[in-house]
Amino acid sequence: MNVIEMDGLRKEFTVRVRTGRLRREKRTVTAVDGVDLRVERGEMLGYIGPNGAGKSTTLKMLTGVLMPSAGRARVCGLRPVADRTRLALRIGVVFGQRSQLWWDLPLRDSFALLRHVYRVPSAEHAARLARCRSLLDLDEFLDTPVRQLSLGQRMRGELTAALLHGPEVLFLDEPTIGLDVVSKQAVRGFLAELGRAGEPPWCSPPTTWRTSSGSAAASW
Amino acid sequence: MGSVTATVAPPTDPNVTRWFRTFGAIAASGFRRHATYRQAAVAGVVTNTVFGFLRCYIFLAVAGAAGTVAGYDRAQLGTFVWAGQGLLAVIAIWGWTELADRIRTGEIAADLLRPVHPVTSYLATDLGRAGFASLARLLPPVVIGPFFFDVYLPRQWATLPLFGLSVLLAVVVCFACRYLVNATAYWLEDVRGPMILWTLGSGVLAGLYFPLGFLPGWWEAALRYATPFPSLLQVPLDVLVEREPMPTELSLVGLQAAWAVLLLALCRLVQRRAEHRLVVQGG
Amino acid sequence: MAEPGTRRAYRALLGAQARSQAAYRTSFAVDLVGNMGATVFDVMTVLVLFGVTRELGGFTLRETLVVVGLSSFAFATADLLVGNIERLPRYVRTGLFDAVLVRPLAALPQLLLMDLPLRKVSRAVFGLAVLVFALASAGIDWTPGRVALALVAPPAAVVFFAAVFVTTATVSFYWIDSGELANSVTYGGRDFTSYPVTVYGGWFRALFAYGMGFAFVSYHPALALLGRPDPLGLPAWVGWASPGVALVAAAVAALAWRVGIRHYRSTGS
Repeated sequence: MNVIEMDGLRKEFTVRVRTGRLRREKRTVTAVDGVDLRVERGEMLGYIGPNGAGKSTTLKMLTGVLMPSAGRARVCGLRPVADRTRLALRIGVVFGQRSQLWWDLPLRDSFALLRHVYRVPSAEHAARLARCRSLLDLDEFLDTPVRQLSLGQRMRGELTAALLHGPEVLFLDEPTIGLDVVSKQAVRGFLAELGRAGEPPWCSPPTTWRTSSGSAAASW
Repeated sequence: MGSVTATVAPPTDPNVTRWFRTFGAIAASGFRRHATYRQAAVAGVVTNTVFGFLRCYIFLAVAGAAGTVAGYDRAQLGTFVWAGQGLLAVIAIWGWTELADRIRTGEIAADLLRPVHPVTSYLATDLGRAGFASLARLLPPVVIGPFFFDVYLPRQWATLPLFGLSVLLAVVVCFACRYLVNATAYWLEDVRGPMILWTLGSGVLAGLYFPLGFLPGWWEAALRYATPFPSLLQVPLDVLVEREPMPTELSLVGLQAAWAVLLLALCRLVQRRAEHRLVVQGG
Repeated sequence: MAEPGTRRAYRALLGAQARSQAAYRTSFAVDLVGNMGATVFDVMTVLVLFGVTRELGGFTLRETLVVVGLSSFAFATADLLVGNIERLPRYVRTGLFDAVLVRPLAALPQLLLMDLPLRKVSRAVFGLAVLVFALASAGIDWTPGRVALALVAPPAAVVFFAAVFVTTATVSFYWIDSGELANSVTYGGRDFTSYPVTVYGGWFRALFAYGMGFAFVSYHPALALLGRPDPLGLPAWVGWASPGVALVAAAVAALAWRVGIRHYRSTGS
């Protein structure tokens, strides 16, 4: 069964370009130009391209942040923009350069908070958190405020935050950007493990969508 | 101003020329940097215009039927308000946290590596910014105001150049105050306290909310001599509306100049203490 | 909104915000004092103006203070509850806005609760004190109707200012560099409502007082409370219209937000 479906998905932006000292012209820039794609349940997909190729724009259209200019998108059978809040309960998103966590609070508090936001039964939440703690070695910094975490630690926190509600699809936008070799390895290992799992508490491994710019493509 | 070259070589003649050239180049870059924020300037002018209307109507209501209050007639109040709305942006009284931010993030180290004293380079940048603001932010309200209210035009030829000088000194005084407030970041982890005090104090005591002449007489004198605040707005605006006879105006501008020199010297002293502290304690 | 799970989620967001602010105890205390200072100075300005005049637009100090009290309480409270929405351009730039959009809750309440500036509480309390003092000292002839109005008009004014904050913030969906433009209506509105509208004149008064509805925040309710006929000739019942005007403003704000967020989705960051 297809978890993600895209037919002729397009996104155009109008930008104003200075053409003279005072004159400005409107120009249309096509960021995503008619993407057709089907992703099955449990699949792991690397979405690769150079900077500015439209990877993040595609991801934003699939998560309901941006409205497509044309074409059709379905995630878990839902329309991303129209059914945004219902879809949000079934997907997890990590924006590599932006944080989902509460800056001034310990990581543990952010996780507790997300349990309320996503309305997750506490037993399920605890089981998933325990699993992430062992796989991602969170224990040593679980009580540290997020602003004091290193980039690698924060990213491990972000991954956990995106998984605690047991999403069917996990969207990762440049999750290893700026990480050192060791942290990159840890994240990749975790994702590979996640793909294998297939056991509780994940039940079914989430479909994983990961964007990555050109240079990282070889190492995926 | 020759003393400002302390971190470069001793001031011989060609060096003074070079110093002025450096200063000019930094100021020009400040001008250009702010000239790119045209949309923000338009938004700012709209906001200044709305507040110009509000303050003008309120002060005119205070003047009431008699038509004069605290030595200002209706036209003088008009000029005071509309030129004041423009000056506010020229001296950039609020919102400058660049230095404090750079100190907090440690980027200030890069400034200390340059062969120009930080006070000098920030002052040059600020004068460039003020130059752009006097075109983009001072002129519009001064032109818009007279369409809707009576305004006072200076009667003596000497007033305009004196006003120009007074505005320049106001920019320097304001810069120095902001520099000192920002520099508390060298010692304090969080500079919001000094920032808030500055924001609150400067608005009221500079003559933005009401001309200081509305206060009981001795208050205005005390503020003028004991604090730099009236030098920010009240003095240049009083010069422009010729509220006092010319000799008094000249002495007020002289007072401004004294504040400018004193505060710049204080900036350099504070900066030296801070650098000493950075070197000794490793920031 | 009424669903208990959702309510618990919002409560959790609010708790987190309170805890993060408590992490900076000294700064919080400084902010409490500083924020009150801003409103203290607003009220002081009025006192200074009355130091050089006996009447402002035909109103005495005691009468004007009722107007000031309504305005500063309403503005300070609205600023506390929704004022931080003026930081919308920053939310968009830092990506907080996108983060909020991929969560299963409505965007606006999330933003407001995640960035609720609790330090502004001091200001709202001071505003309330001014309002109570003004009402007590204005020599109002209390009737049941006036008591009801004194209870209804302040919250209505809060709703009105809140709507103004949200509506003006949506401008940055279209114009991200609009900077301080919104201030001209929000803070401008606060200054406008701090004085009887008879102070102003011409199309400027028409625009702010009746075009945008600011006359219903403090001026008309104050007239009704003081039992004064409107020098501008509007009937007495207009003083009771403020809750209705506030509801209209809230509807406009909700619509502006909805249209604005749709525009954001079609252009993006």
